Amino acid sequence: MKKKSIKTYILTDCISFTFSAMILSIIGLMQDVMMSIDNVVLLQLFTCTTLIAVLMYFTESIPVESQLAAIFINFIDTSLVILAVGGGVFKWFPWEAIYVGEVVAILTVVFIITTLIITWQNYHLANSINEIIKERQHE
Amino acid sequence: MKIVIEYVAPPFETELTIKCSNPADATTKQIIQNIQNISRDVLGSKDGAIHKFTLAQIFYIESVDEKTFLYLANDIFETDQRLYMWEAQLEHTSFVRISKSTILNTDKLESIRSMLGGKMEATMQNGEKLIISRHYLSAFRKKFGI
Repeated sequence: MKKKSIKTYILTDCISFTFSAMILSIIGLMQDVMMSIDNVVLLQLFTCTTLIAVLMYFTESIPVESQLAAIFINFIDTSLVILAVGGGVFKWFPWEAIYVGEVVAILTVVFIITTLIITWQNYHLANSINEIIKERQHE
Repeated sequence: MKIVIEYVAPPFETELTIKCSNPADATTKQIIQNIQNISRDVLGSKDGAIHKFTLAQIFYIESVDEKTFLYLANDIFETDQRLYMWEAQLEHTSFVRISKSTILNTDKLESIRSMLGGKMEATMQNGEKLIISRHYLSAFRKKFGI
C-alpha cells in the first residue's frame, strides 16, 4: 500500500516542480527582478518541492479529524520548507521579518486558491458520481 | 455479446450459464470473476461463532488496531484476512480502497459529497458515513468510469 502512496507523492512532486519552474520563468520574463533560471536554481527548486512532498508524506499519517487542521498542516509543511530551505539555505529572499511576512502572505493566498479549486473540482466530480449511482439504483 | 435473461417462478435458485467460444477472452474472464466474487461466500466471526454470508452483503471492510472487520447493513464481523489481502482479492469487483484503513463496496453507496481540502464523504445505503482520502480518489473515480 505504501508503494501507491509514494507514487502519488512523486507525481505531486513532479507537477509542483513543473508548475513552479513555469511560474518562475514567466515572472522572470515579465520583470527582470527575479534571479535567472539557471541549473542551480532549478535544482534548488526541485529540492524544495521534493522536501515538501516528503514532509507531506509523513505528516499525512497524523490523525486529524478537522479538515481545516489537515489543510493547516499542509500549509505548515510548505511554509517550513520555503522559509527554512528556500530563504535560509538557498537565500531566495533576505531572512528579515518583512520579507518572511511577504512570503507567508503569498503562500497563504496560493493555498486558499488551491484549496478552493480542488474543492470546486471535487464538487463537480461528486455530482457526476452521484448521477451514476442514481442511474445504477434505477436499473 | 448476447444477454438472455429468463425469469422463473420461485422456489428455483438463481442460476447463471455462460456460453462462450473463447474462455480465455479477457472480457469473459472478467465477467466470470465478477460473478464468482458476488456470489462468493465469506466467513466472519462474531461472539465466538462463525457466520457465513456473501461478498455482496458487505458494505465496507475496515482495519482497526491490526484487526480487520467486515461491516454489513446492521452487523459487524471480524475476519482473519488483513486489509491488503482483501484489496488484492477484490481488485476487479465493486470494492475499492478509499483510505489507509478502509475498502468500500461501491454497490452499497448512496451518495458522496465534496469536503474542504480534497477529501470526500461517502454515505452508505445504511446511513453510515466514510471518508474518501484524496490519495485514493483517483482509484475511486475509476470505479465509476470517470
